[in-house]
Amino acid sequence: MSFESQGAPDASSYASNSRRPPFFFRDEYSSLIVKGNFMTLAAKPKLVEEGEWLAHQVVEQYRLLEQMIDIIKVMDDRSNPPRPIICNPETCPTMSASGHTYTWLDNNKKPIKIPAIQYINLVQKWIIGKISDPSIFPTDTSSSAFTPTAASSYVTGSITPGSSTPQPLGPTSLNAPLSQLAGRDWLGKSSGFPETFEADIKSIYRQMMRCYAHIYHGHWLEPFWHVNAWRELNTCFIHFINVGKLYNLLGDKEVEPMQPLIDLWLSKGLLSPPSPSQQQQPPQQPLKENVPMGGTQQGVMAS
Amino acid sequence: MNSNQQQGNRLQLNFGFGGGDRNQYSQDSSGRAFPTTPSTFPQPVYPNQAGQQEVWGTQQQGNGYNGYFMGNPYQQAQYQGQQGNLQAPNQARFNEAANGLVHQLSHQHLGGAGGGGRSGSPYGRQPSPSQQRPRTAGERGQQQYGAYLGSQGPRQPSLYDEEPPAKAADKYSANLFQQSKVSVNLVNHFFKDSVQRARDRNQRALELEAFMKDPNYSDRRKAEKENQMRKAETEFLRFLRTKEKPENFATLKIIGKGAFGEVKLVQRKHDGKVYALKSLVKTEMMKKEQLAHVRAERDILAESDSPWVVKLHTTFQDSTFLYMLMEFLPGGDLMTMLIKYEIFTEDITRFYMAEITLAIEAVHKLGFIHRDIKPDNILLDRGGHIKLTDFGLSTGFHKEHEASYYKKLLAGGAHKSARDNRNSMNLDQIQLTVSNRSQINTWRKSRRQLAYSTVGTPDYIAPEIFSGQGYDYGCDWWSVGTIMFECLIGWPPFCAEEPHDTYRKIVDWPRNLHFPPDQQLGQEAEDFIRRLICDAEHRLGRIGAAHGAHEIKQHPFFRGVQWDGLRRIRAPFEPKLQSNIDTQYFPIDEIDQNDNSAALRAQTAAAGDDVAAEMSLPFIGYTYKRFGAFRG
Repeated sequence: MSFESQGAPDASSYASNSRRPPFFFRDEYSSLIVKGNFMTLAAKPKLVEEGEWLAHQVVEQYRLLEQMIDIIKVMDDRSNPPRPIICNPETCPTMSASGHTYTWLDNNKKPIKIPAIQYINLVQKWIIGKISDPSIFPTDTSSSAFTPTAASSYVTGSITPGSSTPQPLGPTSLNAPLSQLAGRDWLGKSSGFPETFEADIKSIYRQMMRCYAHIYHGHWLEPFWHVNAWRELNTCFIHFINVGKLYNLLGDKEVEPMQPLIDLWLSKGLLSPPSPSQQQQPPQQPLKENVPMGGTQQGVMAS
Repeated sequence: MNSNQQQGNRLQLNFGFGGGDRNQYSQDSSGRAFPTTPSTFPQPVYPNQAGQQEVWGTQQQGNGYNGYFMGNPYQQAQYQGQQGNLQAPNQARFNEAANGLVHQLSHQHLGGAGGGGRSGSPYGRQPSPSQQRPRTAGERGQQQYGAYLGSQGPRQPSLYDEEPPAKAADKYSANLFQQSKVSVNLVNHFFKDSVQRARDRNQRALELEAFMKDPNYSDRRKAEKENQMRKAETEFLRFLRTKEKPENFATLKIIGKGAFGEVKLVQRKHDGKVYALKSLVKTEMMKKEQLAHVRAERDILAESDSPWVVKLHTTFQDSTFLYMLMEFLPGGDLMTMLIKYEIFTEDITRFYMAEITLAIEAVHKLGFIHRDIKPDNILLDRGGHIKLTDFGLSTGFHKEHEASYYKKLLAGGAHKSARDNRNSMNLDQIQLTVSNRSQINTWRKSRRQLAYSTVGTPDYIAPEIFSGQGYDYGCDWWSVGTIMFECLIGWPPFCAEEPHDTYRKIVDWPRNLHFPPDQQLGQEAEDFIRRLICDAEHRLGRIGAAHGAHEIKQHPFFRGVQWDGLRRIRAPFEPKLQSNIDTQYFPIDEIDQNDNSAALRAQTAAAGDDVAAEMSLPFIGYTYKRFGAFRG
């Protein structure tokens, strides 16, 4: 198999420690509730602009993750004050996954370790704030909102009507903004998404990845195994990874805590590897670790 | 049909042959058939659901790529445009085994073949394909888990064990299991919905492609069409991720009120479209503990696209209410019609029974038993044709509650109904005939009141549902019998002042089913009713989902009915509407028009914890939305 030729750094460490990999990295616990290729759900429809599609994907991915988080957040109503049964400051004093500990930035921008549940709550609040902000995730469907879309799509050439067709006038050099004339463009621009949109969804994706990593490493047994929700967890996660990798929303480093499971799915053809030509290209936009995330809520990797 | 003493009261619309025989009816009705299909008939547009073309080829293992991540950030460019229809990229090879149909969700709870075996899994044979482990995972990780699981005392199960621990049903409190069930259910629905949406989108793309290739259209028309589709797809995506809010709608009238909430005629502010908005009080619904189940049921029926089922456009929620945005059917419901006209002719009854039969058939074919077919749930569209609504939602009669609930009712009658405080008279022993019209009128007056109460009306429910010994598709046909009885006689066969008396009468139906001697029914009509109001094992249509309706249709009462075009003929009663917000067929006067949603909201807020109300209330994690809903 291809993996053996790649000199994975710790190829034999599980064996040498006479220790099995955690359940969720084993083939028999990698199963899903959906058959087929997840590209069906991830591929951008031809008629949809990419920013629009990614906004849709990010919101849906968040809704899925939220379902998983809801399981570890269930309150113990017998305790006073009520606190989560599964993920609470005693069980998970830090936001950790497989040796990584994720920190939050305090008001002085100093990274601090906080209980996982608190971290997750902050992440959720932050993500909900982003995705329900119409200036970042526009929702207007009145026809006026689409006029620029249609017009600019002529300009960018995604529609190529026959040459004899009378054409609606797109923005011309007389009325186009200077930035556009200069060729400045960004993800979702033609659909009305802000220039920061791409950075925002990458930040959202990174934080969601951390939540998945914590759920797997901290809560696969307790409770996902016991309540029989681990296949659903796998299914949400593979969809998350597929979209994340397909649209380059996640870097290698961020997925590291879950790499063996991703490799496992890859080896089974459940995830599609990048094509060779693309693999040889350097990443166009290396993911930055510290994309501004607004205010003091920047999380950084501290391990 | 010869007993026309009630002629003055009978509904006699559109038919010029009040007491005519059924042959005349059928000839007549076919002569009046509408040449076109009214717009209320959505046609399924997905002829081939095989979905072959959506399945993406995948590359097999051993291709030598380790990094899944090194790709060009915009590598998806290869997926778009190429075929435009989610077809396999060229470089991909189809793999029969791995692909399959994407929508094979039938295994969703089963974990597929072999995956469920958690006790004899062949661990030994199968080294983990991933030889790579996180560089930073190591002893630290182990310690961490050791600490987390507690290392003292008996050995705690660990992630690194040979096998996971046995599952213990009592390991956690019930609410954790409940939440897990809800989450699992919603995730299942998410993927099912998403696959369906991808398939629908694909279908639309194919249709557009065909249009673009059609030489009969001008280039200009093609460009317009493509732009229009582009806009529609974008609007739908925005609609999917936008939270619908009650503030987006202006209330025009309250058209129904019930124990769990109300139904309002509303107009969406930004586009002026008219809908019926049903709002249900969450705390009330929560008590029923059947939300996931109800939701599943609703979704499937809503997706059915059947002309016999009221269309559900979308569902959404806030901390107090669960909302369902539905198509507005201006014709009111059959209950209101029955209150107004008291009695129908046999021909008109035949029309409604035939339509109800087809509607129930449609529901059964989807694999559902309605269980609560009653005049209140039979709505009339603008053409006067019926549609079913309220799939178990309004009364909350659900499996886990039913048996014990009814047992209690049958045993004591201790149950408090909305009418308990009224100066009630026991009608139990009185045979209901025309001679005691006054009692009937009392019943009729409280008819709507009962319909809006928590318990709902039990008049149309089959006895086997009360017994708790199981029921089948046949229970819906019992309801048809009781509704038909009411249409022809003027009251349901087991009506009583108190619901628990109705239950008793139904359970002991052989002694309580009386056809009043002064209202002679046609022989076939009476026979049909008697073949429906009887024991489940002798009932017409008992033979199950696929064939039950067929047997019903064969009954002589329906002789001459043209089943195929029933929805296209003119209905005996066609609402005459002044506008698209005309509510004259709703008993607006009898419904308190005061909006108490603010008070209910305040209540919820006072109950506290509304900071994360939406997150903590797992009612409908995914709001249900249908393509085109926003387009009216």
